[in-house]
Amino acid sequence: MTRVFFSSWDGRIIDERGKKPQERVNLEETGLPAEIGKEKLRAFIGWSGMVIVDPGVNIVRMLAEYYSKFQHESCGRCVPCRVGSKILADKLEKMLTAGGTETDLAYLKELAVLIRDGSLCELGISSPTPLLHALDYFEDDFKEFFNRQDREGKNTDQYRTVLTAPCRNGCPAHINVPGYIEAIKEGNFAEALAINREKTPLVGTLGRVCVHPCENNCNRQPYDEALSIRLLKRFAADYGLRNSFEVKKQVVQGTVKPDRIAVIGSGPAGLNAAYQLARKGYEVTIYEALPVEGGMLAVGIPDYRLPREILDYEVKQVKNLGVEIICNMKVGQDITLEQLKAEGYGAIFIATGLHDSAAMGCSGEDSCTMGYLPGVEFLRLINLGEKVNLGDRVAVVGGGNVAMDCARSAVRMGVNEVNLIYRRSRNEMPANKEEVDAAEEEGIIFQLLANPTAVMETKGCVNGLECIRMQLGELDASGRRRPVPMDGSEFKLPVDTVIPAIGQIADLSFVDSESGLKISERGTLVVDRETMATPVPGIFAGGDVVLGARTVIEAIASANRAAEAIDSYLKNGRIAVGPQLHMEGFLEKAGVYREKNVPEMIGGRRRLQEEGRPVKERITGFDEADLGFKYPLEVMDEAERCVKCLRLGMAVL
Amino acid sequence: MKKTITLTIDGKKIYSDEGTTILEAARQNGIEIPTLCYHPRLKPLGHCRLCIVKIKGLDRPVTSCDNPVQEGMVVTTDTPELHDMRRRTLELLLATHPYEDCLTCVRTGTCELQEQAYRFQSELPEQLEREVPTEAVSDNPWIVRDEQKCILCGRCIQVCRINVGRSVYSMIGSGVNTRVVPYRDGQEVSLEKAGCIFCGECVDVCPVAALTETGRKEGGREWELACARGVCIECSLGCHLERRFFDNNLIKVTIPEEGEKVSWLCRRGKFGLRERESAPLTSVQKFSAGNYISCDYGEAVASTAKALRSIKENEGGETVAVLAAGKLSNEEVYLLQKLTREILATENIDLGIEQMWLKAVRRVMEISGAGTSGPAPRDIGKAESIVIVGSGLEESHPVAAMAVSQASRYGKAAVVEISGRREPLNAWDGSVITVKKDREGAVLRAVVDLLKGKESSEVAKEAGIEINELERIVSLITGSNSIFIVTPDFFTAAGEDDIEALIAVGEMTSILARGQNRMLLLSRFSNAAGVAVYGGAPGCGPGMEVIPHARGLNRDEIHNAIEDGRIRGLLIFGADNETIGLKAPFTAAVCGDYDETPEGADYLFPAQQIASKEGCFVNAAWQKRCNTAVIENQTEITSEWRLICDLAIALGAKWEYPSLEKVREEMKEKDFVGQADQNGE
Repeated sequence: MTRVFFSSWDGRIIDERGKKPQERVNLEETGLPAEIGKEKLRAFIGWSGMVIVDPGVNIVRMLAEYYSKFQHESCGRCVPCRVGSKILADKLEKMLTAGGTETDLAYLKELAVLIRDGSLCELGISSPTPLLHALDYFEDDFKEFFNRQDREGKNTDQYRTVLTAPCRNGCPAHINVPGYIEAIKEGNFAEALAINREKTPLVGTLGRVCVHPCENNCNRQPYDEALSIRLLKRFAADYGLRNSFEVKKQVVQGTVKPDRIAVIGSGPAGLNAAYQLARKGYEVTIYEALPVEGGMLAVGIPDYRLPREILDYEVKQVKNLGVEIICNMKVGQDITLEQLKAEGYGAIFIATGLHDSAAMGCSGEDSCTMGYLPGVEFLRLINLGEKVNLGDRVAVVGGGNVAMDCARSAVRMGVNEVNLIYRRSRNEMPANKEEVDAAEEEGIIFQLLANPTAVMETKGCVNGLECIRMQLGELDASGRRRPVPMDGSEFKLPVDTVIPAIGQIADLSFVDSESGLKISERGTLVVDRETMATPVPGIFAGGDVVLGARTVIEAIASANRAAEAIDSYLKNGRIAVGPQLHMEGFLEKAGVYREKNVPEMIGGRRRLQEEGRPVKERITGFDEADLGFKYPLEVMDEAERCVKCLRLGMAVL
Repeated sequence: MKKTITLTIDGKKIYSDEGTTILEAARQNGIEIPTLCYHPRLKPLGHCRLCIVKIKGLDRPVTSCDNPVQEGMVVTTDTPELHDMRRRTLELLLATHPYEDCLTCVRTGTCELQEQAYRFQSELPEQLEREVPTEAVSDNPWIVRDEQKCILCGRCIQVCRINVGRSVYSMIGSGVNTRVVPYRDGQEVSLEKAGCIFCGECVDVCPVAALTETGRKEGGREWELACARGVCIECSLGCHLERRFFDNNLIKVTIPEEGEKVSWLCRRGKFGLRERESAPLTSVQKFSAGNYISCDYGEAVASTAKALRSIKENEGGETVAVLAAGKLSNEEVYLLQKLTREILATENIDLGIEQMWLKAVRRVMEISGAGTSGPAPRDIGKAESIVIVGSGLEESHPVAAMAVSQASRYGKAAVVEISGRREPLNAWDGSVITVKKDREGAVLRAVVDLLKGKESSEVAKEAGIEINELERIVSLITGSNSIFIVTPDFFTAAGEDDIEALIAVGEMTSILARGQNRMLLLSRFSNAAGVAVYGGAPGCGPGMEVIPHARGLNRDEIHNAIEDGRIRGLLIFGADNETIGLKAPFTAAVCGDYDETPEGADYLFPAQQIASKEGCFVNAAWQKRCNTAVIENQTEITSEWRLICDLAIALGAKWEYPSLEKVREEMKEKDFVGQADQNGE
């Protein structure tokens, strides 16, 4: 068990300095994990205070290090943070060699308060916190240090810093959200796009379809509404598209790597891994089973949510880096994993996604030849431009985004009556709230607390769906109330087509027993979640084929992680990710957003609403339904709502 | 109607519109809050932290510049704590500003940092070491950048992006080593490479001496400069500006401090004075034996009058012509046309106007009514769609082009340019409908046909453009709040049918209507509107009255007639490049410097410096603006309007104009142009 020596984290003082080591409280009390990567945490200082685990940590040196980093991270806009942090850092640095006096400590305190109270953003406001805590609780340690003879003695403490923010921490890919919002606030849309492109080429895609966990972590929520982060991102991407801000291949001497890498699948994970590896200087080839590029983005998301031109433009950005995409090449069918290895690829990244639908497990499901169309297949067919006849009445089963996509697409195909059958209530629907609202607006009939029991047919053709009413019972493992059928409540829906959209499964037919790859009970590939490495050296995997049916941003995060590990593997044979990801992982567990202590601000500023086409108009076809933000000055005003809750943390190892 | 918010500032109950910032609300009510990065023409930046105030209920002070007022808010703007924080913040800033230079700095006295440091009696801190270039950069003829002095307020970055629609500057680096530099594609570059058009907006908003005009060190402390509001006569837009003089020399030109949030000057307006470096003509000259020699003013006037009278009496008034290339004031235009018509008895007068432009203007006035003002650059900024007809806008009227950039990049406008070139203006969502040279009129006729309901494919084919392009223009101009900008290139090449098509488009949409004119017609001559209104064109008398049966020659015809020998006497007011080669048997010219001198003119009269010149001008929005003399005329140079009077009197007229006021009174009779709000734009 890791125990706390002193903590002022999160507004709670835990002072165990007088206690025996075994009597001190558990580190868990502070909410901080005990390890960073595989290393033990000895101390952590940051926006919310300081936590000392190991009494041997040199506090003055730790503070000097932290404030030097603070100065380095200061964006330079406002005076107290820009200049004040420099003076703090210089004074602390000087104390390390020359010691100091009580006057110096008083000056530090005065300056720290000025920076805290006078700075523009939360970096300047929050970063003085640990110094103020140290001056309050560790004054004697300072004095002891000043009197020490061997001040400049050997120091073995190692420091790892991380700059984050609640929104950035909430983003699985840790996109620098405050960074690009600041750029937008200043009207520098090119820079905003460039910051996004550090993490992914799929900026316009995310700007349209991301589930935006960043917004759920926004500190404005208790005051008015979260920043409209997704749409700000979309605006930067659209601006880039209209002004042709292209990703350029940067050929820097020495960065061109000898290894070639194969990526299987051109969905978000595959594209992102290829993009990051190509930026690192590798030659990357993507093998795509479908005739189109983009994987699920191309065949899983309908055009009204993600127009093809947006995706094409973003795929082009990946190709700009020299990535080759070979379509109609299905691994396991047109080419085997063994053959790929034999072609001399130094590493292979598998991101084949989940392109099959899960069965509902009710009778009649297997015997229908007409009118039974699994959701993923339905979306694939319409996205590939195939003709699909749904009849007059459709039942879509499921409450996730795929179900919404199917139902809303059916409406656009002119189907008279679209039913959506979901076994829980509306609150439990896993789909984005925006999607559910839009579906309802578009006239989709919600059959909530209902579950299919039988697909009804005549001569192989669907003519109805028998369902049963459900009620919510005890909580299940997911924390939601378990739906329980109500006996005798069966009812029949006369429909021409049934579209089950209750889950997706992977086609792993390319994995044979000799490959060494492992398949989990959930039917996904097993990898080390830290490095995305499969048990087979040189083969990595990411995206839905590993994560299950998750989100675009999680696929991107897994691909970025894999790209780092692949790079390390090819460079030095070590499958590992860098310290930045370790720090981010640490903070993910620690949590940065705290509803109970969001920073003080003036509320009452509602978020900007995007332009949308009226329901009547949008259900007539697959043209984009939501139009995003239009006017730069309004967009800059929205960005100005951001109070830039930057959080600088530093671990001592 | 905006909602009214009630709040309390320093114990005073204040009513303010929703959306007003705390700072604005305080200042509107006479409560002063110190600021340094705030600038009335810009969006608030929040960088300097001087405008902090206390709000009841909040622990930390907040900036008043970027926080809107809220109902019931209780604000305190000055407490000992706030004062102390402001002073200490300034001291931090001074630790990164080379205050030792204040003694010799060109901004001393008007430096905003100096002002605040004095006000708060800041102590001078030790300078921090920074990795910022120590030498000022002067990589162009106009703007000097001294990064040591930069206080990172961010005004230049913002004014360039949002008011100019460029993005020359970026902040790079971090901490005390943060710098504002010209930046392009991830690289620090020269201003020019970063896309700078040298409009000088950034210089005007810089609170310190980080950005200054090249050569500013010579010519007086800021507080010694005399200042005069006036109008720019570099092009026909007639922008509002301030001229600053020292010791009878124009030192610099700036955008007036007050006024609308968006305002522009271009390189020619701001730095034009630096571009004319040839020696000015300072005395009257007579051509004699192949050389110019100095000559007495009275003698020159008498001789000129004598020669012209003799030509008029012996060969007829139609052998005399009077030319100018714009830039004349309204009063000069009026007096000169009076001299020409009443005394020289000729209609051969062209003081700078295109015939087709004049025709278009007449038609616009028939529809909208004389005296209806037209669109100004700031209206371009508010437009939702902009249609530019003709090429060359960036060259001929840079401020209009800047307004278009601003409107499209940061406003709401979509831009379509119907022109012979391919590259669109610097505009977001800008597109060019490329036409063959001088075929803009065909597109306008196609638009008319389409509006009349003709089948689009046929119409587009005739005009030689794509259907979707044609439909795009139509959808833009029929939408609300659209503006037409017509460039001089169009008027140079246009025929009467092209003008008719232009007007028809205006009439069929909401662009032209009674009391409404949203068509910015741009002449290549400065004060062309003044020339039109006060009678400086053949057949066009004061008040734009058509002079019946008058057969006067326009400038091209005068040029030809000089070559043919049909013009015997020529008066040139304001010689320039176009008039250098002109020489009639008798020629007298007023010109500014030796470079503009017509070869072998019989008499040369020196033009007045702008500093000592008075006069009004009509801008492109059909509003009057005036220049006032700020320095006394200490030279021998007689003002142009006096010269015209002296010539008239020498020619036998009984003119009595003791002052310009008398002239203006007489002009009022036919005038229909309103005075521009001097604080406007």
